[in-house]
Amino acid sequence: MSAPGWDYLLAALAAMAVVTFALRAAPFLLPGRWHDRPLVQGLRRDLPPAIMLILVIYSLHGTQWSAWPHGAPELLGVALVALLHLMLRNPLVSIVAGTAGYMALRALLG
Amino acid sequence: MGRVEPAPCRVIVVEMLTRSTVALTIPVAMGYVPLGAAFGFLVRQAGGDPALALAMSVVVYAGALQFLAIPLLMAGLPVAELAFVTLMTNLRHVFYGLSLRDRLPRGRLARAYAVFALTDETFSLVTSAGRAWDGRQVVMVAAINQLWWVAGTALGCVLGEAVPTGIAGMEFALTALFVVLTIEQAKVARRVFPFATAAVATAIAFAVAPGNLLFAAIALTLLAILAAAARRRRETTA
Repeated sequence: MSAPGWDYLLAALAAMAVVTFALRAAPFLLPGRWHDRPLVQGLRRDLPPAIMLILVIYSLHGTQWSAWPHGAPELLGVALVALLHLMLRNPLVSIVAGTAGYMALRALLG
Repeated sequence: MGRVEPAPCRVIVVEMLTRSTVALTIPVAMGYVPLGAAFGFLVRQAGGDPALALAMSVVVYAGALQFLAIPLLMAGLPVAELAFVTLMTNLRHVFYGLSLRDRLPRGRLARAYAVFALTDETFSLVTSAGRAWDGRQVVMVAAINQLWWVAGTALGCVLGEAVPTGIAGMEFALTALFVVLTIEQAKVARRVFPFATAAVATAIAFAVAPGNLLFAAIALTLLAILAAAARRRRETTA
């Protein structure tokens, strides 16, 4: 597949940068004590963790569950990362070792 | 007799401030340099230009999103959809500014930069207890943290050249990153509800709208969270 052109990439960069900055700037621009409203409090508490889990699942949605190895490397990889992180609490170790484990499983199982 | 140099006191104070501020960012650097390197590396492995990797680390400066965007950019995902993915992935940043309102610098440019560079790690460093931060320190910490991130990205680009492409499975690093972030969120949230909601919403979205999985899952989750919050509000005002 050929790499995308810079006219697309520049537009994409601008979109990502603008949206991200707007989100970070929003609290300083919104009027009054909007953050005290109960609905916002609910979002503030529950939305970030929920989105994070959705992203985990979404990042795996290309997996071929019906074909061998039926997503075993993915599931075991996730378990490995989770286990390492709960035990060692080192994000770098969790990510590197977990990815290495996943790649080993892929090489072994296909 | 020549002109006497201006007293170096101010220079020394600035120097001390800079040195100790840099020292404060070392814990962040220990995460940002390797993670930035992983990002730069993955961009090269995916066939992306190092200029793209560096540009993202300079103007976007959002870890999870940068990783997530790699395959999307290479596949040429329409900009509007990319904007939506950005919105969803970085929504949590909206809640960061709330705690920092009083700690930002006065100058407009410095203020704008401090807001721009508000990442998870910078946020937690600046809000950690035991230190009174003034606006200038906040900007300096934010800038130094971003320098670590960009330096890591550059390092990763260089490494990405040296390692052959096509080794299967490196993109799993993205999933691994998200798993780590989810666990960190779980430590703070300490509730099952958001995760149960996300799981159910994703399952429904997968069954009903597999072509728009991310949008459907997040839309359902959003509705569920709002409904629960609305019900809590009704119960407390009843």
